[in-house]
Amino acid sequence: MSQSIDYNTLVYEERVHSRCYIDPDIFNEEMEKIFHQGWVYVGHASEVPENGDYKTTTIGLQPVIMSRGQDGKIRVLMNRCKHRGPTVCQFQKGNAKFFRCAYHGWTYKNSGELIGVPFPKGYGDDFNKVEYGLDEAAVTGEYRGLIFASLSENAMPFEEYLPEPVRKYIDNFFNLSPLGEIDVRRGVLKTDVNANWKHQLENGSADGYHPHFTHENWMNLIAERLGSARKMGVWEDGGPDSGERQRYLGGPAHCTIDYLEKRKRRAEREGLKIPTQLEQSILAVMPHPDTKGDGSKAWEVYPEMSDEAIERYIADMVQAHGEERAKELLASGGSHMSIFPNLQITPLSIRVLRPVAVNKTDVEVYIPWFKGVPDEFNIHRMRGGEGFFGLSAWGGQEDYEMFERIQEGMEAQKNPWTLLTRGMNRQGIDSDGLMEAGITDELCIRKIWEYWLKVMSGEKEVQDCGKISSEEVARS
Amino acid sequence: MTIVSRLLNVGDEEMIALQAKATAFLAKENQLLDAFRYDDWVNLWAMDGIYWLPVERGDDPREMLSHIYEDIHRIKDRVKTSQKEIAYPQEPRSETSRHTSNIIITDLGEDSVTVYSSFCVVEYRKRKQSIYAGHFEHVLTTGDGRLEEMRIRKKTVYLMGSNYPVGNISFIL
Repeated sequence: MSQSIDYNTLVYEERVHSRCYIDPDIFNEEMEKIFHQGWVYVGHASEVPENGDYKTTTIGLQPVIMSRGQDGKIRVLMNRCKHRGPTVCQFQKGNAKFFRCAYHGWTYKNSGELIGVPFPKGYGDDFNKVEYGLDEAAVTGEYRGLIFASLSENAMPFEEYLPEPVRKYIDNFFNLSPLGEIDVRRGVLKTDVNANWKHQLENGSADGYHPHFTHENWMNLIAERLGSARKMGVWEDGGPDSGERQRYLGGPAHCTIDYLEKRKRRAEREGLKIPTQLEQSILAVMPHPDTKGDGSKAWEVYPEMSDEAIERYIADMVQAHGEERAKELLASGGSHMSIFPNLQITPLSIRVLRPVAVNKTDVEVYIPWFKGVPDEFNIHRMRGGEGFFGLSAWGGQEDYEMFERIQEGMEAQKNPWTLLTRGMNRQGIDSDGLMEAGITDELCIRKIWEYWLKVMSGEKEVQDCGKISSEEVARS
Repeated sequence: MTIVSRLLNVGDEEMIALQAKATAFLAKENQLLDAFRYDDWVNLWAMDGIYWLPVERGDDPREMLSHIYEDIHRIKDRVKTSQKEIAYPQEPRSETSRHTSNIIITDLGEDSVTVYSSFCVVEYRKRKQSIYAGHFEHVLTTGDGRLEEMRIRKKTVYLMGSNYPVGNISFIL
């Protein structure tokens, strides 16, 4: 790998060089410094509810198994036999007491412990199986079932990685469940995007500028369904006075879009009651085409939500969280946030970024169910998620198309710089001391690059995780 | 053919006639989609039609996320929006060549027939050719027995690799 990349000449506060998105050497260094040495989201505990449940995924480019052992503990294990290196688990998810390498029969417990080596005499008397269990991530951290891991023992403390302001916005999402719990094992939509992973990172961090244009088709459709009186109201500049904010939440480069103030104001202005708020929050702005009640919608696709069920849900929320907090949660409708580098939570979804190559990224979209919420609400959310993120739908495909266009356009090198100045003239500090700007501004994108530059240039202390060299990463 | 006929309790000749109609229907559907005749394609649907592309075979769409699970209203929405100039994932639009074969009748209802088939859709867009393959299950209403009266009550698309990352399928399968 080239040691000669001078990152300080590629990233400035107001612009970034396109090389950061298209240079394979930079991608390989990113995998090493950000994904293999930093904290990365791996999965949610509800994906492996029973002992023996597992899912396979990657940390950067490295294959891992998130496995719940017979002791009930969730571990992040490297999916690699300690003998000669084959993966020991071949499926995306499942349940297994043991992982057995098919090459020479080495067998591991689902906790990673090596328990079987065929013909062990060939290794001599001093061979100690304890030393050859599946490698584990160096550290793991968990918040509300969200499981993060780092392959480096020198990663920053988990509390520093996921500081309090971030947790508050995570809570806003989880607490839409009166039980405070979500179920992420409800299927996942995976898309193969031919673009660099950072396009989705930037887009999902707090880019409230693009929906007006990228998603115009979808937004017109929603406006048509809701009727003009209740348009989504996003055809606005989103300046500091709009009541919608993007906030930088600290940690490495976490950020959020906060709609709460705007939704509260609208509720006051238009006299909306909580059930109406529900449509734009927990039900996540995907009304069925037939909301006008001619009775022709298929109940099978969109089950009826009775007033009784809505009232019951609100009562449960009030009981669980208190009236003030329940109202706030319902008005805010969850969270829209980005947890660096690879987790994004939107009112509908949990989105996971999995870089594959400099111009290839897998984007995974989960639509969690809220526990203790009437099934028909969750089914609505699921159908809404399909309508936005699914195949032949609108939102997801529209974003991915833009990412691929960026990847193509960045080859034009006459002027290789992107422009990130939006909102520099109106950003500030909020009452909690967090940096904030308007929803259509680019504050959060600038903060992401500020952190990226620190890590990539080595200004921020990062340690070699000691397991794999950059050259090996490049070859893999 | 004989075995299926016996199982479904109809004669061979009736079975052959049904199969011929189903085959003609599926060919018609492919031709309309290949020719971008989406409004005509929508007219192939029954008003209670359901279009389903599960993530995994065996999923219950009431319990699990699907790629697509739509009634006729949303099918119409999709067709309407996909033809607009601002449908960016289809700018330029995908050309397709669809091939459906191994068409067999697997069930007979009072006014419907269930048809299972293999499909291969070759797509070309922006210098890239992609192949999408798998199986269709169509539940077709038989109407008064005439081909032009048949409608799709349910179309299930079992896409190979649907539980792994899939590409930009912003056209109709």
